Amino acid sequence: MNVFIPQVQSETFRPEAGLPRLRLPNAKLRKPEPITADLSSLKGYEMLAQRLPKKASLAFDWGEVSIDGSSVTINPNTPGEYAIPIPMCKAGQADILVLQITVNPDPTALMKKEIDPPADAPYQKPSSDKCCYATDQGGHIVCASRRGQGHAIDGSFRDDDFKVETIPEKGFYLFAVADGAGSAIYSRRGSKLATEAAIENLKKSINDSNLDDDADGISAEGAIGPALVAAAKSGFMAIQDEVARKNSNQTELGKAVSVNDYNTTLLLAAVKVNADGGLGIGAFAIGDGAIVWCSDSRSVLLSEPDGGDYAGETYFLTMERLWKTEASDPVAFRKSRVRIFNCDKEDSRHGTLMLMTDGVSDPFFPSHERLRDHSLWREFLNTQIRENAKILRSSPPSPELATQLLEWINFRERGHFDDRTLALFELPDSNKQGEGAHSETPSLNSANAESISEKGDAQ
Amino acid sequence: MSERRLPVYLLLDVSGSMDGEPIQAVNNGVNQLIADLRADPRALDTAWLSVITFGDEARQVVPLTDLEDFQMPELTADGCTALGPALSLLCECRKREELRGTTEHSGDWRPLVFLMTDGEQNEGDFEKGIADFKSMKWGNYALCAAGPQAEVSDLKRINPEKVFKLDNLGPGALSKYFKWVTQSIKMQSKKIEEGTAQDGDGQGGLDALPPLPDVATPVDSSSIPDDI
Repeated sequence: MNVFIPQVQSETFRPEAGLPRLRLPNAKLRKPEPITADLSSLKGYEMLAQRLPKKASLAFDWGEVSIDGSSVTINPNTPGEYAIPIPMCKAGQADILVLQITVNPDPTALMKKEIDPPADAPYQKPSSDKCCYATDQGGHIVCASRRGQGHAIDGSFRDDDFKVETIPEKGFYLFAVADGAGSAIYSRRGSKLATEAAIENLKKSINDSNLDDDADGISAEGAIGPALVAAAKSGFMAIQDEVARKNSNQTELGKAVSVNDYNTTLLLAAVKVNADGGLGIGAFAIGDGAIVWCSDSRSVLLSEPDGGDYAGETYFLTMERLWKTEASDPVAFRKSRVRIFNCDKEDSRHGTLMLMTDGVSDPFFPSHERLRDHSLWREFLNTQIRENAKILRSSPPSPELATQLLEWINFRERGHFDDRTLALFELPDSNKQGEGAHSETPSLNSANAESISEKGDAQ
Repeated sequence: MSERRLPVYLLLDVSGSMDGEPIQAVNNGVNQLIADLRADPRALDTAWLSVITFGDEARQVVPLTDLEDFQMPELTADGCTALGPALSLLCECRKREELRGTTEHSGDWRPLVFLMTDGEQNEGDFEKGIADFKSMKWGNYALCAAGPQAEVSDLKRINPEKVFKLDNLGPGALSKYFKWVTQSIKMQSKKIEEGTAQDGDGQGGLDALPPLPDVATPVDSSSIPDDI
């Protein structure tokens, strides 16, 4: 039996004191699902049961409410605090039951705002950046960097940055990824200076030296380790120079600045494709984020996560005490931060090198242990990069690849609003032209999974 | 994928002296706090709330609950001020409710605690409460002595640097207090998102929290005799 119920605008309805009220579970527009509540489980229902309509449906401009026996279903579409008046009848007396419900907004919708940073602020930076390069072997380098949703709703700048350089005549590909500290006022500049200076310095080292003459690839004892440390240090020095320059002319920024105002992490990788097709990678890291070589059979973490799981503390390129440590014991410093990885041609065609800021790694790898979990890395590559970003090993280099990565990197994950930067490098599988690497037969076993936890593998 | 919770414990005095306008202002204040936090996407993603009241006894009236599911019951005021037992109960609840970090998951962020009292400890074991509270590390906390009758020296025994006084128990002052608590929670969820939340935030004074409202005055710890 349908009972006619007059529609009452909830916005203008003010439940009077003394009317029976029942509070329903909160609705969430995060996952817009109907809220179904069994009124009979609510306190005081017995007294009301006889007087409630058996069946009713009501339309409000914030959603729909239907009653069927003791079951009430609510389909909200607008966040807010609502009182739903349900007319009741007993022995000719009219009364109203008030159902109260809170409808939570969808946080993703609240985050959709894109507010431009102040146009008169120093160190302007675009909210996103991307690039795609071809390698001589027919592979691709794809990078994307995007301002986090947190910065977007606050109207602040992207603090991440990246820089890529290719030296094809020497078979080298250079990568730098940096995450400017959210707490540092000019970290957007720090990350840019660090990546640019480090890559410039590294390029010079490689061009000036005979690193490329090392036919066996990159060795731990060779010149690449010191070159990476020197490159990182030049990033630090570029920031020191900037501070000195700005402080000698304080009208530029309005006040004195310190190196800590430019705090940034730095991840560096130098990849060398050898004459025999094998690969050598030298990697260096200060701060969080990750550098990883990931193939179907193994993942090799080429960065050591800094800081504790709980502290949220990270190390910065701009920490003077780190460089004091380096000055007092350069060998120990290098050993603690430089990782060397070599593989033959077959392996080189099945793996992917990735450098990422913690805005990308944190949502997928929430602990240090997880960063060492090969199955997670393989899943990340296959699900996120191949399926979601649609970047296949066989994808020919094109600007669209960079666009795809930039779009993917905007993924929404609860509690993660940070800037995100990802750089990836991979060579085509010469045996499987035209196929994506995701079609390779998975061959995970526990022995393989160990390779990521064995530092020896990466040193 | 991962998600780390930010637990927030509100410790509210519901002793007899809060009866009438003050407890109504507290009810309104907490409801406004919830409504404001719900409009903040960062808080919606991270904040979990619990309410512990203390009158004749300490009671957890709302267990640690996702902000989205949180429903505030109407508080009424009556009885003594079981401040010590409230601190002990807080620690018990935290131990029970906290998700610890494992090799596979990051644990919760350290909790924020906002304690408000209008009187003096006069029920239950205060020494145990202080000892329990001090035995744990907190993300941050603030101790509010609200109104003229509030005993500042009780709160200072917990930590003098975290104590401030609220001028009065009127709706205006309490509303400003709860707005400040709201700002503090939003600030912490922003820090978490930016990766700038630090273990050390809970150390030191009230500096890591937003500026106090104009109706509040920090208690100068240096001018108070040492109570050890």
